[in-house]
Amino acid sequence: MSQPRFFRRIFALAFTPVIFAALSGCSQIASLTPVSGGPLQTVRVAVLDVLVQQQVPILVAPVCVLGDTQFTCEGSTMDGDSILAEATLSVPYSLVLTVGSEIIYSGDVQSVIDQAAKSQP
Amino acid sequence: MPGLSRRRFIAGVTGLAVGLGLTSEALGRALASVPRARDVRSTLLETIKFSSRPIRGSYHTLVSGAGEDFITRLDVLGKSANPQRVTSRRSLFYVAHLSDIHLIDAQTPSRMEPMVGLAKTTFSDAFRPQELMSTHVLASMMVAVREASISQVTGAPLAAVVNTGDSADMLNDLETSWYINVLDGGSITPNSGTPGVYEGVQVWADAPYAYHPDDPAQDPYGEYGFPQLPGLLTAAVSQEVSSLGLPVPWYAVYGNHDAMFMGTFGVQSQLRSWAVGSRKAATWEALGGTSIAGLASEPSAFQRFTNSLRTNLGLVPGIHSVAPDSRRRLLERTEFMQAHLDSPAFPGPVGHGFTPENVSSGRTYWKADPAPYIRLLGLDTCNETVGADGGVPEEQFEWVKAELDAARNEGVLCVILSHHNSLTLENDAQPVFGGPRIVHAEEFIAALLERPNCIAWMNGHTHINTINAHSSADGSTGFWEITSASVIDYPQQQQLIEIVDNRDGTISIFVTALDHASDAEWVDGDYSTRGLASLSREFAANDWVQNPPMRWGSPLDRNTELLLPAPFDMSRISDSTVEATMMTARARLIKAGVEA
Repeated sequence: MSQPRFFRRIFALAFTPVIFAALSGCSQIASLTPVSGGPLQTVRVAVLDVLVQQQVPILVAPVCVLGDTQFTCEGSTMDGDSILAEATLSVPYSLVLTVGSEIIYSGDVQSVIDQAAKSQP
Repeated sequence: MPGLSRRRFIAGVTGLAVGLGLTSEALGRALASVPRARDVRSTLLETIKFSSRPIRGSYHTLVSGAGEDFITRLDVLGKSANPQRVTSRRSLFYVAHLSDIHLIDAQTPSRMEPMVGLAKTTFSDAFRPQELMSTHVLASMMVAVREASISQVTGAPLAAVVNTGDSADMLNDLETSWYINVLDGGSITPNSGTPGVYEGVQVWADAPYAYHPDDPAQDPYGEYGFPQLPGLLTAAVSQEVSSLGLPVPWYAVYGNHDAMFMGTFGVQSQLRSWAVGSRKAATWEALGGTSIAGLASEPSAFQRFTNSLRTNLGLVPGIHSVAPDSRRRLLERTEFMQAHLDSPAFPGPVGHGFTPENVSSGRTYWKADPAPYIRLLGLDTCNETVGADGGVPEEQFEWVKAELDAARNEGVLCVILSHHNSLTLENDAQPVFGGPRIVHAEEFIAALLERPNCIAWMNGHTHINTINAHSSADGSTGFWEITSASVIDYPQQQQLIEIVDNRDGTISIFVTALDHASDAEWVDGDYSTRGLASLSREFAANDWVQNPPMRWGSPLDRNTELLLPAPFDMSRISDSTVEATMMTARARLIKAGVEA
């Protein structure tokens, strides 16, 4: 297959849904994304993993939101302390988790999740 | 509060025995005994974890790990729980929650595996290394549900199973019938096309994006460390899978994969004929040139004819000849509901939530009362215009609010069932002309919070164990949103959920993650149903693009006790009503042979 023809077909495959959606209405373009929430869930799971591992007494588990510049998760402990987690938007996600005034974790998100899923040697 | 009297017990036994075709004497003797949770493997006792080190490349096996006890979550209650609740509580409703089964007919021409080669991250569900074994996993999940049919928390009998959608993967008639058959109980051979022969991308050299178990050396899975397993494909498609089915009534709602092609797009006529035809694309150049591009451009009749001729003569590179199979046809929207209505009366209920009125009207949501004091509201949150994520159409939103209000007046607790969860209820796609207003998560949750007899919202879609609390601004009311992982992706877990009245003005909802009944460690060469289910979980754990460990969720998303304030005086639900409901549920288990 010639290169131009090859790329025409790539274009057809990749952008067919987008073109079709564009012809049908702008709301459809925004909808042509994969299932939402993966990055947010990744950060959330790591935050909760750390809290449980460090036996923080949780009253309200942190709720995470996606902001313009970072992920932010807020919750509270049984002792009335605030729980605050902030994570970068770019991969690899980096997390700082604070309970009250103490930073209880600072580091990579994925390594927390990977470690929690593994058996201990 | 008085329980069931001797007279009502005897009358109840007699009625149940007649209804279930059992003798009164045997049923009465069984019901008079104390139910006991079976000594089965449970995530309370044993979990499944990644091996500490990869065994080959980046490939990990799975091993047994320590069990996880319940973690008490107080987010909605907003204060410490009463420690006395353990001695005073009574079980109201014990249910299993299935979601995102994704049964896959991996050989259908309408499956678009080459899209993985285009962008594995974006189209990761177009091909999975374990997709040929989805039936084996579901059958093993049925075993796990049956083994867990007596609650390990209270000894209550399993009363129902709810399935929150994405039961079939590709809108395929065969996938839908397989899924219903496995849940109802029966035997199937998970194959289409040529009997006993696998025809698909996993044996084609021009599909380098796929896992080739006969010789993975040249594909990315082999590079990652997936094993060489000659004979696996043939074993998966040639052996019969027997399922005992569910022992209790089960209910289903639509997922986006049950309503739309690839869970995202509407279906056009060319795709329907492609699905039952004899040509399957191995490459995305071929897929784009012959099917997808054709779908979009609506070519002329002459062009369609010449395309068809070229394909049938084998002149199109990347297109393979396969045995056609009419059972692979793509379902129309209402046919999914009709398939549920055609399912046998036991375990029932007929329609599994859907009614003949649903089929005739096209209305795809329903309500059901699996207990006199529990109402299920089964929603259809799919946005048929386009997109994987969903929303609540305004008409359905108004219906939910009215049903919750009515149930509250009746003293009935409500559980919402939908496929999409609060993170994925933002799809605003509208057809070019008209279309209903789509209600998003914020407005939907606010409406539920105004109606505190809604105590739980069970859903799926993201394939990640997730439990979120939703509380009113003043903290006086709230409900729990419980999202299950999937049967197809790691950890291949579902949930056991029990609603318990603590008799202190609070309700506890116990959630237990449920592994399917296969070994954590796959035994080399075990191609039995149970063995293939075990192997499937191991493959899913290594499908790196899915971020498998994340999908397990956190401990706060698995074995948990979720507390909330009771929405009304729970003594409105009498002990005798609860005991009669439990007796009916136990009688069904006895009939199903689960409890002797």
